[in-house]
Order: sequence, then structure tokens, then C-alpha cells
Amino acid sequence: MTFHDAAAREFPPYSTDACVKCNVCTTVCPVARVTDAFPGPKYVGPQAERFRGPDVGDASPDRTVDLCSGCGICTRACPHGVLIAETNNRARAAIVADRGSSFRNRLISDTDLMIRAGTPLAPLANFGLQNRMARWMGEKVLGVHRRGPLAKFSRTTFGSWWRRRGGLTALPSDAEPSKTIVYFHGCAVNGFEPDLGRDAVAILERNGFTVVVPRQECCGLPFISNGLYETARRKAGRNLSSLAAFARAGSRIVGTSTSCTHALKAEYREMLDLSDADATAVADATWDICELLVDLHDRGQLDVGFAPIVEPLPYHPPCQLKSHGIGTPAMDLFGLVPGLRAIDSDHDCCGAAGTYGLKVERWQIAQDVGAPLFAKVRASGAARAACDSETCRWQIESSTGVPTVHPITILAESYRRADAAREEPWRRIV
Amino acid sequence: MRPSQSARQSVPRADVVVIGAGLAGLSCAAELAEAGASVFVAAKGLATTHWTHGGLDVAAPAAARTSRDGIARLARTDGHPYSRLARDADAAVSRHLVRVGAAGLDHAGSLATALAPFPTAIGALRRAAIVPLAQAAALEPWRVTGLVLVGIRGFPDAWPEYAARNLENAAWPDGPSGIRAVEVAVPGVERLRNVGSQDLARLFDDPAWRGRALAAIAAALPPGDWRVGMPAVLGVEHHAAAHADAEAAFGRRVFEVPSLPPSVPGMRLFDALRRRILASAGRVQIGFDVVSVEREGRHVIAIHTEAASRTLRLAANAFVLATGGIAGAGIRALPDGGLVERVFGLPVVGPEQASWFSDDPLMPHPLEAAGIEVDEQLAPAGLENVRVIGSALAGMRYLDERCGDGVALASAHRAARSLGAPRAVAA
Amino acid sequence: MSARAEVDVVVVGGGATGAGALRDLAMRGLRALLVERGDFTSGTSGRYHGLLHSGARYVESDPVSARHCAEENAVLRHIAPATIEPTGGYFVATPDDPDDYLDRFPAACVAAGIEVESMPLDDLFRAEPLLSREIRAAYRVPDASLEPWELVDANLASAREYGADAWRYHEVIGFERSSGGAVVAVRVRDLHGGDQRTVACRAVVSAAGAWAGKVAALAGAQLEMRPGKGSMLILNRRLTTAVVNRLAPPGDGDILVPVHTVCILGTTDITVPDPDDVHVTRDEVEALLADGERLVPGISGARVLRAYAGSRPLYDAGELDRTAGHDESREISRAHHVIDHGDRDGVDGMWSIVGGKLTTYRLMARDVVDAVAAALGVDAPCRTADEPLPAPATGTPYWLGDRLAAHEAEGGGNAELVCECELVTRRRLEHALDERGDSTLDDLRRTTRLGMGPCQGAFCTPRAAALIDARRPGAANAPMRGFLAERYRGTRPIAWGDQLAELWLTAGIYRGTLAVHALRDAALAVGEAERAAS
Repeated sequence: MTFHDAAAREFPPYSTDACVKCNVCTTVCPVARVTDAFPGPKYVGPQAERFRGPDVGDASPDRTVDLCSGCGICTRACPHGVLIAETNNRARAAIVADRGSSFRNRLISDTDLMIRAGTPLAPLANFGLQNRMARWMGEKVLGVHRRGPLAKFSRTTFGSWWRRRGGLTALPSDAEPSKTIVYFHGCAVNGFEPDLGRDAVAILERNGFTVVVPRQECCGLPFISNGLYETARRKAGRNLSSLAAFARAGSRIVGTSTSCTHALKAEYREMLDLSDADATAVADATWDICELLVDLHDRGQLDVGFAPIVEPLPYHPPCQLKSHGIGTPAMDLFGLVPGLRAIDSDHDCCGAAGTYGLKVERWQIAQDVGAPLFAKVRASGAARAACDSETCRWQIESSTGVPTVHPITILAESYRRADAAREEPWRRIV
Repeated sequence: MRPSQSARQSVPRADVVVIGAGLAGLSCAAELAEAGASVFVAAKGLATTHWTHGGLDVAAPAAARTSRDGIARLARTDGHPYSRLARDADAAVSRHLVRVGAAGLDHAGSLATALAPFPTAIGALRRAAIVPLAQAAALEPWRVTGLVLVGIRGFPDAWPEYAARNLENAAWPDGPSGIRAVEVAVPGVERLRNVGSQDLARLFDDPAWRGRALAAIAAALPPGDWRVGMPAVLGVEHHAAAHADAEAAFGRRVFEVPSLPPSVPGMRLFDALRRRILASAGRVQIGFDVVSVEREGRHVIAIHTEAASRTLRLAANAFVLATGGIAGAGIRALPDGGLVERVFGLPVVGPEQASWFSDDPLMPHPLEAAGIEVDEQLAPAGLENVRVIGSALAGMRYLDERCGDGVALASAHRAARSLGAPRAVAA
Repeated sequence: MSARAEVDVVVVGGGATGAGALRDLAMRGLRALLVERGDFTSGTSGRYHGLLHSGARYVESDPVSARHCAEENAVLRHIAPATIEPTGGYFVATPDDPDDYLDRFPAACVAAGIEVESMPLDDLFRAEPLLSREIRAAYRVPDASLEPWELVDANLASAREYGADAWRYHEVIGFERSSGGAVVAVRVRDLHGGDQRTVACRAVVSAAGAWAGKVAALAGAQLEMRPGKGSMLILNRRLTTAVVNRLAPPGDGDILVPVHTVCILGTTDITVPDPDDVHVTRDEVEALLADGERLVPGISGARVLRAYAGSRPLYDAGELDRTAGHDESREISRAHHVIDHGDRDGVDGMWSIVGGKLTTYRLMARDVVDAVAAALGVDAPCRTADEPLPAPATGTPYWLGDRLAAHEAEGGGNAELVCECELVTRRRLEHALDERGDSTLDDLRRTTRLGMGPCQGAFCTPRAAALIDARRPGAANAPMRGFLAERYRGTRPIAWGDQLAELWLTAGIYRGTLAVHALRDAALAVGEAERAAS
């Protein structure tokens, strides 16, 4: 790698050259806002970076960078383009390489493993998740906070549902690639929220796409967030092998988790340094589902026959969505549903930050970060809230008691109502 | 990431896209939104609001008596933005004061107010006239009132004893009858590991903490007729209450003394303007960095901002360039002396590289006057639906003349009016 | 302090050689005093790139110097490990570098006693990914990076332990000589108080380096120095982990040295008439970066923090063949010379030690102290290579993360930090002010690294000035303004891109929010008073 201007500044450690030490990033950091233990992104990012050796194997001088939640708001706010959150995450990986990582971190990062273990025993596992004693023990033994927002296991995975349905796992030979979409479901849909996956498929098929669900595994983001880059690279490599051909054939890869899609779009290259042709092809072909639907709408190709859903709907844009840099497409879509009063939370971070909010030593920070959001959601009086990221949904629901769904759950519901009204038009009169 | 292919993805089109979220950009966006236009503010990041002292520097060249007087003097300088914008200043400033006042940030002073000395954190005097209410007591006539400067032990950016000593030597006509300094041990602060201005300000937002802190400070104040100069940390979200509580606790007028960035007064100003824009259905997005521009001849169709693995396309009828100068990275200087405006690539006029700097770092640098040249409508050469506002404009030395905020507001106002009432969304 | 003092030997010059000589004299039982006109290590020792030479750089041009460097490299690692970061070094051949130089290099190293190891290119690029892939050969040598201030301070501390003393801010203004012409006393002026003092002595060692000519002239001796200005650029972060040298005859930007949190690209070599008048020109900056591109392509896009220059204490011992057009500063030998002014100029009792490298300071000191001791009839041996220097120079070798790790171990955070860029705590500065209460901000910078990070003092200057004001009320404005000016001096030649944005932010703070330009105090010059408070 050379040091040429444009390219170099996109490698997070080199981007720190642009820092003018102004501390704007520290003023917007949600974690620094709530805890004195975290010195803020400037300190642990571009400032500490000058004291770090370049090799991941070097002794790491860091400790407080581990409090960074990775929300990325600092990177958004920096006027000079310092990739602060990305630099922090690399520093965390250096800590892990130097001092190792805990069993707890490895376990909670491994959602695929948890799903394989949990879904066959879903009722029992879910009982454990609800049971106070079990959660208390989980906290003492594992370090997962007893009130950490863990979702309930589904009895059947999305993957097994797709197989039973006879869904496509490869591109049919007569496929028109531009009308074919690869659905990257992610762990949340697979093991905890398969209904969301079903809604996604329904919406995509309704809008004329053939959906393919090829072999895939966890995107690896929890491993990246916890600095476990080696494991993350292995998962990423397998995903890229599976997905690259579709991307090169001209199909889009669509996800319902802004975290998974961000990993595919950006973090495989920025954090794991996977920059080969496969990684680039997949990144270019990856879309968030709301991003896709808005794009369709822009071209006049979206089915806009949405039936009314008359309710207030607090919507929280997740931090990962902000990192996508695509605005809030969900809000644009909500505008197409008659009667729906969607309100952007205008709050920085819910606090969950993936696995961060589960950890016994971070749970309170996560709750404090999200507190103003939770207050807004409760005060809205709404029956439910919406958010594009699973861990955020579980955090909001856990901390407010208000059921929180993905935006497309609302859209799918609106489509279904429209269908029902068409099939039984006399019902509308009643 | 640098995308290998651009993808088209757009939000509902806006009438106007404002690029940059400093005082100029936010003010222009607010005015347009208040007039009913759909406005989208796209900013790479937050900058100058969070670096400056939070007062309104409209015009304070050397011999000016009031800001209005200052504007008139600067307007006579060839090529100065005020030579064209002077007549917009009144309306621009009063609109701004109404706007931020409605968002809870009232100010004192007007263009007719005499410029008066404001004590700085290091104990020098700078001239000011229009300031947020929390700074107003510094400018009110002193008569026989003294000044107590307060520091908070553990807070690194207030230097009350140093400042008091310097102020004793300052030429302060009709200034305080005496100047004292106290450093107060506020309970809990010395145990903190992080005591930046934003950290303290958030603590002051908490009524319980605030009460204890103000009581400790009050106990340390000397008896007598004093005004109190506090570090500028009196709350962010509950600033008005914090300031009122301080005056009540001390039984005296209190003013904030701004110091090193990050500027809490600047954060309040940013928040106020942003709230106004959102309240008028405008959108403000931070972290939106313009990477390319679509144009047809003299017309800009859309800008593209950097998104993950692609770009986001923002189409609009008009675009306002409010990206600022060198400090805020709107203009970048190259090693060979080239000056690059980073969004539209507009030509930057400025001195030759050999003449950029003065020998003394405390004197104005000729390079400060570099910027973009525009016509009466604030449009740059070659682009008819673009307006350039704020410190990106050529011809002013905003530090020396203390005119940056005034030019920002006046140009924002002129640009908003020049872009007219909301037009139909382009097909 | 009394107006008159008496010692055996006065050492003039508080750089590495002077401090080393003071230590050696004291360890041999002589009563010695060092006088330095500025702060210790403010001359050439404080203005170089921090390289602890392996000697490999001189194996072809100056084998004697090479051998000396190799030997002293090992000695310093033994006596002052904590001032040294064992970065290692590479010599690399780019396509522009001559084959014959490359071919002769390994053997020449061996002949000079320098450990040299051929480096496979794959290994080189893995270790140093930013190096140019056009490099065609590489060797590894024991170069290292050195902290000169700590080294000098440790020598002075050791000297004090042995009964010597050292006065900074005392300028030599003259010598008293006996009727026979011997030096019998040194007259100095205290630059802070203004008082003059006379120090009686039996011998004078001038370790004034590039200024040795001026000092000698005060004693009536003739010594023509050829100060060689060396300009360097400081880059914001380490681009390499090891020192990287070009395998070629010395050029401008042919060495990259990682030092603490930065790396230094150097060095030009231009004869200048006055060692005090050194400023970095744009041409030098361009030449340095152009050369640097050959080592690290794209280096011109890296953030440059500042440019600075020092004056090499070069002495032309008459070796240059000027008739053949050899008059270049680079061609002057780096060997050191002990000059006995008694023999040469009839000024008995005065010696100058000139030339040399900082790496060989101890050897230079030994050689001149040998001469002085012999003349004074003292036959104690030199032990400066055997006895380790006192803490903090002893201990484990320096590593980059040291300061951050120590701060983090105490909980991290910015509450205690005055200079956030370089993690300098208030406690550290208070301690430095306890030791030397008359310090300016620049003096504090030397011992703590205050203001040496990316913001170049933007944030720490007023905080540190307030600390000075607390101890010396009313005396902080001059050091504050002086520091701002000094930081600016180094920024101006490289003011573009990131560092210009930093400078503009700094201007906004000092002329906008704080209005430092409007400070009024007794030290205010007339010109400044005319600038109306605005």
C-alpha cells in the first residue's frame, strides 16, 4: 500500500492524520455523554493511535478504547474525515491479539452457534432466557447482564422454512439476474425473527423479484465488533465465496439487517482488509431492503398499493444505518402508507450497539445512552415502534415494553391489508 | 469506501440542498424552510459552530463604534463581502435573533449597540455587542461593580488568576472597579477522569448536581458588589435554567467566559438552529461528504455524497455552498500553493503562496482573505443555481475584522431570498 | 549565587558533548562547572533527527567515524537504555542508487565492526509495508532512535552526583587570561537576572559545537567552524517501525527516523555563515519530500507537522581539496577533533572539541577530558562507558506505547492532561517547574514533549502558561507568546493541507476567542500597542 492521498485517508489509521484535535467527536459521543470512564473518541482514536505500534501483534497500550460502542457517530461528525470509530475497533482487535478475548465475548459473538444450540430446544432455551435464576447465573458465570436484551429463539429457523418451501438456493438457469435478489437473512431472522424474513420475501416477490437464499452464515459483525478479526475473516471468506457469483451475475444482495448489510458493504473491506474482487463485487451489489424499495419507487417500479395503517409509529434509525450514509429510507416508505404517522426519534443511539449492551459491565452504560429514546417511545403512547436493526429492536422493546418491529413488517402488513380488502371488498363498508 | 460504481439512490427531492452546517448553512436552510421550501442540509461534519465563542461577530474593525458602523466601514473596502451585503445585514441579524430566540437561545444587543470590551479567558479584551444572554452581563456598564473570575478546580480551560492579572493591565475604560479570581473545589469534579467543557456542561444540566456546584461556588465568592465570570459550561439542554440558577445562587449577575474548543455556547447555537430547521420540516444530515457533482452546463442537477460502497444522489433545484474556508476544510491548500474548493471545484482567489503568511502568528495572514468570488446573487461564475455563502467568500479577514458571523448571516439571507419562494419539484 | 566562583574546569556548551565532558571530568575527581547560554540541549543536540548511528552510514565515506559510531552505539545501550528505542535500521537501495555503493556496503560494514544482515525483500515489505516496491536490496543494521534531552539530563545528573554543577541561561561573554596568555577565568552573564559572574578555573573545555568559533574568538583563539545547516521534516505519525536509510552517498531526504510518536525525514546539508541563523526554505522542503518519495511513495500526502533545522558543528581540518571543487558541506568529515588552543593559538588551558556525531558524544568527551586531565596532572581513568547513567536513563528500553500504557493503567482520561497530544500531565509539568522554576514553555517542551503533537501547542499553550503564571505571577505572557511564535516558525514552511487547517483553527482560538494579540503587559512592544484591541 502506498500513501497516496485519497486512498491512504480511507485506511482508518492513516485517516487520523487529518485530526485537528478539536473534540467535536467527543461532544457527540453517546458513551462519553453517560460515563466518566470513557475518555471519548478523540482520546482513544486519533490521539491514542500515535502511541500504537503498527503491527497487530505489538503490545497494546490501550484499555479505555474497549468502552467504545462502535456506534460510529464520531466518524459522521468529524469535519476532516477521520475514521474514528473504525480506528477504535482496530485498536480493540490489537488488544485482543495481544491480551486475548474472554470466553463470554467469543460466545455472544457466535450467534450461529447459539442458534444451532438454541432452536432445537427453543422452549427450554426461551424458558432459560426468561427465568430469573437462569439469567442471574448467566450474569455471574458468563458476564451476560441478567437484563441484557436477548431475543427468544424461534422453533424453526428461517433457513429450514426456506428449504421446506422449496425455495431457490442457486440462480435458475433462465434467471434474469436483475430481477433476481439474493436474500441475506442474517442471524436475527434465521434464529429469532423468521417472520421478518417471510415478510421480506413476500415484499420482494410481490414487487416482481425472484428470491434466492444461498448458503450463508452469520455476517461476522459481532466478531468484528469484539475485535475477533480472525474468526470474522473466516466467516466473511465463506460468505463472499457463496455470494460473489451472484453479485457478478448482476443480482442484488438484499438484507433486512442494517448491521449485516453494512458488514457486507463496508466492514469486510474497511475493518478486515478483505479487498479482493469478491469483496468488492459483493459490496457493490449489497442493498438494505428499504434502500432498495425507495430506489424502486424512484423508478416508478414499486407497488404503492399500501392500505392505510392509522397509528403513531416512533421510528429509530440505527447507528449502522447512519453509517450506510443513505439517509432514512424507511421514513420515506412510511410516507407512502396512508394514515401512518411515523416520527423519527431524532436520538443518537439506543445503546445496544450489538453485543455491547448485553455485557454485565456495559449494560448500565447502554441503558443510560438509550434512556432519552426510551422515554420518547413510551411517551408517544404508540402500540409499537420500528427500527431496522435487530439488537436495537430488542433493546428498545426490553427497555420500554413497547413491541418493536422492522419497518418492512409494517409495509408487509399494509400490503396484506390491501390484499384482504381487494378479496373481500364488502368488509370495508362494515 | 471509494465505490467502484455509483448507484443511483435518491431521497425525495428537495428544493434546495445546503452543503455545510455552520452558521451560514444552517441559517440559510432555516430561512428557506421557514418560507416553505423543502430543504436538505448535507454536511461532512460539525465544525466552526463548535469552535467559536458563541457570540455574534458582525463587524468590529478597528475604529468602529457599533456593529452597524463597522459594517459601513467594511463595506467601503474593495471586494469585501459587505460591499455587496451591507443592506442585508439588518434583516439577517434580526431574523437570526428571532429564530434562535424562538429556540430558547435569547440574545442581548443589536447592530446599534456600542461595541464594548469582553474579557477573554486569558485576560485580554475583545470587542463585542451581540451576545447570548448568558454572556450579556459582561457588556453591561460596570460602574462601581467588580468582576470575580471563577475557575473550577480540575477544569483545565479556565485560568482565572492568570486572566485577572492580565486584565489588571488591560486598557478597560469604564471597566470593573476591581478584579478578583477564585478557584473553587466543586464537589466531585476532582474525582472525575474527564473534565472537558462538554462533560461539565452536561453535569450542570442535572439540577441536583448543579445545585451543589453552585452552592460551592457561591460560598467561595467574596462579599460585595461583583459580577461573576464563569467558565462557559452552564448546561447544554437546560442552559437557561442553569444560568438562571447561577444568578439566583450567587445573588449576582453571571456571564460565561468562552475558552478553548469544544465550545458549549457553540453547541447550543447549533442545536437551536438545527431544531428550527427540523421544526420547519427541513432535514439535516451530518456525515454526508460530497464526492461528485452532476451538472449540465451552468446548471447543477445533483450532488453525490459518499455512502457505503456507493454514493447517495441528492437532486435539487438549487444548491448552497456553505462549506467554509480552510479551517472547516471547505477549501484545501496544496503543497504547491494551489487552493482547492472541494465540492464544485470553484476557482479560489487568493494571494500567491509566497505571500500567504505574515511573520507574526498573531497578525492577520493575507491568505485569510482567500475565497470564492460571486456576483450580486452570490452565484459563482459558471453555475447559475448555486449560491456561495459564509466564510468561503473572498475578500474578508474574519478574525481581524470580527465579521465572520455577520457575513454568514447576511449572505445566508441574501441567498435564501435569491432562491425565492419554493418552486415545484423538478421533474 | 556569588559573583565569583572557582573550579578546576569550566565546560562551555550544554549539549551532549558538554554534558558528557562534565560527567567525565567530575568522575575523574575534577571540580567542574558547565555553562550554557540557552536551555540544555537547545543547540544542535536538540535539533537533529534522533538517530543512534550504527555507523553504517559512514562505512564508505568515513570509516573511522563508522567504527566510532559502532562502538559507542553499544556503549550507550549499556549506560542509557531508557533513552534508546531499539528500532533497528535498514539500508535500502532504490533504482537510483549506485550499484558499486551497494556492492561494497556489506564488506565495508564488517570491516568497521558493524553488524550487518542481508534482508530478503519479502521480509522487508512485510515489516515495512509503506516502503517503495522499487527497492531492490536491503540490509539490516543496529540503528536505533535516541532521546537527546533525557540523555543530556542524565549526564548532568550524574555529573552533579559527582559534585559538578551546570548553569543554564548563562552566556560566556569573555575570558580572563594571565600575562602568559593562559586562561584563568571565564566571565558569564546570567540572561535571566542580568548579573555577571566570573568563574576562576585552570582549564576550559569548549563544547560549543557549531558556536565553537565564536567562543574561541572570545579567548583570542582562531577557530573557523563551518556550520552545516541540516533541515528536517517532522511527520505526524510513524511511517516505518525502523530507521530507513538510502544505500547511497548522503543526500537530502535519505533517512527516515521514527522518534516517539512521529517520524523525521532528513536531512539537508548547507553551509551557513551563522549557526544561529537557520531557517528552513521552501526549496529544502520540496527537496526533502521529493527524496522521501523514493523511500515511501506518497509521503507528500502525509501530514507534516513542522520543519526545523539545526547547525552541525563541522570543522574543516584542511582535508577538502578545494581546488578539485570539493567544497560541499556534505563532504566534510564527521570525525571529531580535539583542538589544543595552547599549542595552536598560544591560549593555554583551553581546548575545543568539535566535529563528531551525537552518537559519539561520550567518546568525544573522553578524548578532550583525556587531554585536559593530562595537562592538569590527573591520571584517573575514564569510566563513563562502564557506569550506567542515573535514572530515568536506566531501566528498560523505550517503547512507543509507554506513555499511553502508563496513563491508561491509572484509568486514562483527559482530566490530568495539559498536552493531550503527547499525554503530558499537569503533574509532570509541575515537577519540571519544581526542578527549574525559570523555565519557558519551550524549555518545558524539551523535557516533556509539550506542544510537539499534531496541534503544535494550540490547546496546551494557555494551560501551561497558567502554570507558569501561578509560580511567577506576571511572567507568563512572554513565554506564551514566544512559544506560539516558535511553533509557528516551524509550521510556516509546511503550511498546507492538514497542518494549515490546524494553523487556522489555532488562529481562531488565539485571535478570535482569546484575543492573545490584544494582551497588554509591560513586555508589550511599541508596535503591538498600536494594534488596536479588536
